[in-house]
Amino acid sequence: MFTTTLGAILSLASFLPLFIVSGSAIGTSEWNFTVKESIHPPPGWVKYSSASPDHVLSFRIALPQPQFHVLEQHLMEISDPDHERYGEYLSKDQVDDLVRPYDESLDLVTEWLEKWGIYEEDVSRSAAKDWVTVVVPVRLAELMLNTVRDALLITRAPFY
Amino acid sequence: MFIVRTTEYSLPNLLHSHVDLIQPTTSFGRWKAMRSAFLDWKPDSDIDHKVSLASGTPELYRNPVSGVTVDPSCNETVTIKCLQQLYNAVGYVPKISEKENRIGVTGFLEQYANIEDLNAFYADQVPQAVGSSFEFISVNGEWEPKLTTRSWFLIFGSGGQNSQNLSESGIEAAIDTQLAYGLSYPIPGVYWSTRGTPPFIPDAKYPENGNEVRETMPRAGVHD
Repeated sequence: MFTTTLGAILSLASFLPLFIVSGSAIGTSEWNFTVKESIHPPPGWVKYSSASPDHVLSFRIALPQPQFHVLEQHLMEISDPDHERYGEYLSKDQVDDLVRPYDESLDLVTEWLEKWGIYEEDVSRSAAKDWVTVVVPVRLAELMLNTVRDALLITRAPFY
Repeated sequence: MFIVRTTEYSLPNLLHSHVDLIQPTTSFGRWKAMRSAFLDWKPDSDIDHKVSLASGTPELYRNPVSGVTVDPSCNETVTIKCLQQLYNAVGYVPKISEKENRIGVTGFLEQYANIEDLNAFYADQVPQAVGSSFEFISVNGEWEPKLTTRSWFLIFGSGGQNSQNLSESGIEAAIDTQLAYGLSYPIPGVYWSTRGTPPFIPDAKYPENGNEVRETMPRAGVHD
């Protein structure tokens, strides 16, 4: 699946450390890629060319919020004029607690980013740590998300 | 207009249950101001008397549990008074002093919130608010020097602008500020606005701006 060339990997050397799988306690097959999401381009959009490797993108990574259904329950109650808890709004800290991801999710995503040379000082996180923002050039994003085969597209909007 | 997107992206197997999504990758949506359906109802000679919530009408809807009553005209016309009735907030008095309390509205894409327009709305629906305004905060605004052929001068840089030209009053800005400030009066209103164009750093291949639009506001929040 992961079919980039050595040259492409080496070209990262000036920018970031090499991607090194060994040393992890987790088996390598679990680091193999499988498709996370696949779509058809919306009508009117056409591929224009491959993206410039130097183009910089700001990606937001959403971690699952296992307690979200609890937050939703709170919202339904405190916004219902007929409910006894009507108006008992949550504090920001309480909301943050309810959207906080599992520690395991945080650890694995952090480990994955570190494999690509992206460390804590390179990312920004939401207060509840449920969103991670990383700023990376296309040449790295293509490797991290295995979009090399179907390279990141430049597309044209239909109405401009 | 170009944007960088993909039709497919992958993640290591063990991350699939620990990542909901990574964007922008496959999202082709173009952010733009949406118009409220509020604007779409047809002129109706009956509207005027429906808007005024004549007290004593026998047809008030009453919720048997909460005791909340809502004027029947609210089925056809949404006014500040309707919203206050629906949310059981008629006559609500803020518990926190006006010095500490604020209600904020965000503005994007050259949606200018116009004070004269706001007061025309107040005159119609929130008479006690007539004469009040809101605080304008330009997000990421800064003065920056520009060199012309004749001299240096300062212009207001990357932040949101605050046009008070009535002809530039934004429809979405008007709806948002009028409903939010009108509903919550006398809580002081704040209007945060970004400039209409997204931050964009051109490179050799992409000198044209095809960048993400809504980055300025969350970044401003991060740095607060």
